[in-house]
Amino acid sequence: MNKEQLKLLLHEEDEIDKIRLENIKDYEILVDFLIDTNVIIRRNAYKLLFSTSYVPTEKILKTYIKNHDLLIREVIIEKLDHFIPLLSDYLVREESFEILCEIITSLKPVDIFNSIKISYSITPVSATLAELSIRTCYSSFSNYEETFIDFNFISEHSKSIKKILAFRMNQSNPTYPELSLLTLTKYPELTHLIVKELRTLVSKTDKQEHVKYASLALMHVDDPKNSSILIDRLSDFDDTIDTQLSIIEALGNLGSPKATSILVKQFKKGDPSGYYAAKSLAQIGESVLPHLITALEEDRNVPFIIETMKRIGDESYDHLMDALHKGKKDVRKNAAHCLTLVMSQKYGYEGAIRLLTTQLAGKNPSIIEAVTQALLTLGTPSIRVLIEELIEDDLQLRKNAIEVLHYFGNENIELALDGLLDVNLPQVVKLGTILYIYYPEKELQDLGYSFAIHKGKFREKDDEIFQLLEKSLNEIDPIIREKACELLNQFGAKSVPILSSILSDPNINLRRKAVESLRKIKHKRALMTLIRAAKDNDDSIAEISTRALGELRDPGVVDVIIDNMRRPKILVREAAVYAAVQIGAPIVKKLSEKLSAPNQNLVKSTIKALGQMDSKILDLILPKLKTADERWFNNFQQVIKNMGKNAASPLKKYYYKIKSTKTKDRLLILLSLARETSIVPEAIKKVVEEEHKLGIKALNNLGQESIKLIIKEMKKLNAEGRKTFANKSRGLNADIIVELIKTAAKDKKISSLSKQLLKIHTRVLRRYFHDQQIKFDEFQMKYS
Amino acid sequence: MNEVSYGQKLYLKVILAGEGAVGKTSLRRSYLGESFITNHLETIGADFASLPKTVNNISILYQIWDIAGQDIFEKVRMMYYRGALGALMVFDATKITTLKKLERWVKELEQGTERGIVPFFIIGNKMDLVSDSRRESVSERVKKFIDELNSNYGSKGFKVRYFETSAKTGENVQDAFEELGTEIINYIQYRKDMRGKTP
Repeated sequence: MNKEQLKLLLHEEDEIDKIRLENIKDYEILVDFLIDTNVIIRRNAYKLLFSTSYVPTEKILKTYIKNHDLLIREVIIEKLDHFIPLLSDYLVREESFEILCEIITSLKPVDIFNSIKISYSITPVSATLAELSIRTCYSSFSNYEETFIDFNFISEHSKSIKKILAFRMNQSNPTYPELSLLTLTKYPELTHLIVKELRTLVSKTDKQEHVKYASLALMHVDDPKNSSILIDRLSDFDDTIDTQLSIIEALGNLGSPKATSILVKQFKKGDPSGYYAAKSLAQIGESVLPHLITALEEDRNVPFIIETMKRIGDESYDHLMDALHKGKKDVRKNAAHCLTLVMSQKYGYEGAIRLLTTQLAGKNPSIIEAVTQALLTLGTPSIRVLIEELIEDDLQLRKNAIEVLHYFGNENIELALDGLLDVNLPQVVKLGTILYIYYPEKELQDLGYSFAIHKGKFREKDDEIFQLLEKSLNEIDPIIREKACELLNQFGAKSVPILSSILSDPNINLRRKAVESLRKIKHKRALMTLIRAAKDNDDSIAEISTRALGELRDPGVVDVIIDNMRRPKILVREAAVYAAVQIGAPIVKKLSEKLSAPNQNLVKSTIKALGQMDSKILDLILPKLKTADERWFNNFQQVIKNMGKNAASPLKKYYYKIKSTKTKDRLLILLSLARETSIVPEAIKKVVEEEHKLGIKALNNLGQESIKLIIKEMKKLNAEGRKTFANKSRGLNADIIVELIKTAAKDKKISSLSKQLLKIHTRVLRRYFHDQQIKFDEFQMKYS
Repeated sequence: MNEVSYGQKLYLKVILAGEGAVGKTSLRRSYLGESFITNHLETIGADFASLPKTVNNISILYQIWDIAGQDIFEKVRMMYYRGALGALMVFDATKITTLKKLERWVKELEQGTERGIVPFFIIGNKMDLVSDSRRESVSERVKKFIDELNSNYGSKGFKVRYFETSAKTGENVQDAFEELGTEIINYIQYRKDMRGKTP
């Protein structure tokens, strides 16, 4: 069919169905009629084209590019799947790009992809190339999720792909290179195809988005040149932060140690550059660590160095420890700071604290200062570990732990211990005990004590505390040992063997504390030890152990107690008196015999001890009255005097029971010493009759309490009897005589007694009044 | 890094807790007077900063530990709670799911400090991105949550409170930290009184 025949047929509207196109040439002729001036011919040509399965795409595209005809545009859109295989080629030509791109960008991404999909089933390579071409020129399609582009395709068709990408990168409209770079971020495998173009971009362009994406693309090609270009860009250009971050990220991905220095420099810019640089440095790996250690000289770098090291992990540790020991002062300080977080990540929080505190064992003050700062940063959990360091064998470590604890201050230490009180009582008791025993300052010792001990007792006791105290006894510092001794009593009988063993220690104070503890334990198991201690040459040890023996109330200790009553120091004798009183009856018999002992200390102590005992013990002593010598009796009188009125009852009972005159006379004296006034008639009887001295002594012992009873007895006597009493009253105490004179003068019946007594006792009374500085003459005048 | 004078100060370790990307690090930076950063800088494990302050006439050293919010750090971060005396539990007011997750964070705090629960506040962050009506509805939800928390921990010597903050504008950031300091100081005093001085 020639052109004229076809035109004729197309002109006849009804004949379209009869038109049979026989070859490609006919189709191409048909395309020419799409731009015919006759509307009927154009419309029928369009209809005919759509009614056939073959589309002369090449011819149509060329015609469209030439004429920009809307009808042909419509054909392209409607039959897009047919045009897809040609698109990659047409979209990389200057003359066709703009006009075809205009059509493409007017379409929905999903419709484009569906056309690609249809085309892909027939011509997969061309369809995939078309997809790439469209992605790099149509922003809405550039991020389309579904794709036919894959690794195999890229490696097999690199030449065609490179042609597309290179064309785009050189397009003057910046959108297309940018979309191409964006496509590279989606398909990093494409990057190597246009490395050269990318490097040129990074080196020269001032378009920030281009540098940003080109940098990110370059990070996928492991070539030292890429690192160098990125390093130069970062150091020589004043790019936006976003661009810089992309370059930093790319340098990290490339992992070239050459970038270390420029990346470390980013720290001074602060966040986010510092943070991104830290991430990139970590990607480069452990080779950056020496640079980081050098960078520790500046405080502002520290957070970023930590950020890097946390990511690098284990390898950082050795470098930091090295810096801690060998670095300059500031480096040490910051190294310790880094260690807090790097180590806590590696060894856990507790582990980090423990490792840091082991660094305190040295003597280098700047290391100690640095570690202290680090521990302070880790806060109150460090306190627990530091307190435990106080019992370590290394004395330097202890000293330094004390120093760090001092830095923390009491308030923080209290806070740390308080935190444990509800959740871990055994530990708080242990830590409190360590502070009390080992810390050298009183305030903190007291704090420790208050956490360990409540109302005089451990808040909780366990073997660990016992072992701690046992260990403390082996310390060199005597104060630590003494405190351990002091606390051991709380473990009762269990502590007796260990406390007993201390009694052979040459340290007197320690022996004292041991004995004090044994006294508090109050257990028979300690008896033999205490007996030994009671004989100790140190008086205070002897004192405490003697008191302890008394408190045990064991009759077997009588002799040692009596022996200590002889000792020259009053301290020990007082303790022996105390012990004897505690023992009571079992010691009385043996002790009362000592009233006639030649040793004055023993006698005095015996008098004191017996005098303080319950008066019931007199039942054990009184039978001796009959046979005891005068010396014994005189000392026994002191015992009764000390007992006072309490002694009256057993004495009276015995007085009425006994028949021996001698014993009764002695009892009369003893009763008077016990202020038993019921004996007044008997005493007066003794005065008036033959034993007036005994009677006078008894009345003198009773003192003024007996006046009323004497007057009463005088009234019972006749005048002769009263005269006899007056005459035999020599020896009666002056104060009693004065009161008798005054009282008798008021009673007419016995007023003569007043004058008789005044006459007989004139000399005695004059002396008495003189001593009292009272005028005797006036008294004499009144009562004579 | 702040140059801090250590020694003889009360150390208040405070934790910033909450889901990833709710703005914990930004709150810390804001409190320390550092600029706001749009990029999300993910925290690995934990970070900290120290800041000396005076609260109730007591000289304290805030140790602000900003712990990683992402689930992958769950095991690691438990150790950083140790010794903490207070916490700001942060949620993102634009993502209400992050508020619901705070229940788990409160439990973590209770288990991790080794001293049981300590004073903490609920912080609704990113308020600069929230409308007034949204703010109101979030506040109502938080109120219910806080009522539950206060009934659980009412006897522990502190009260849970709510602060609406914006790390970007600085809204309420200073107040939240400093009020927490006061709450902790009062809590310490309460503990002291409860323990009583041993003779």
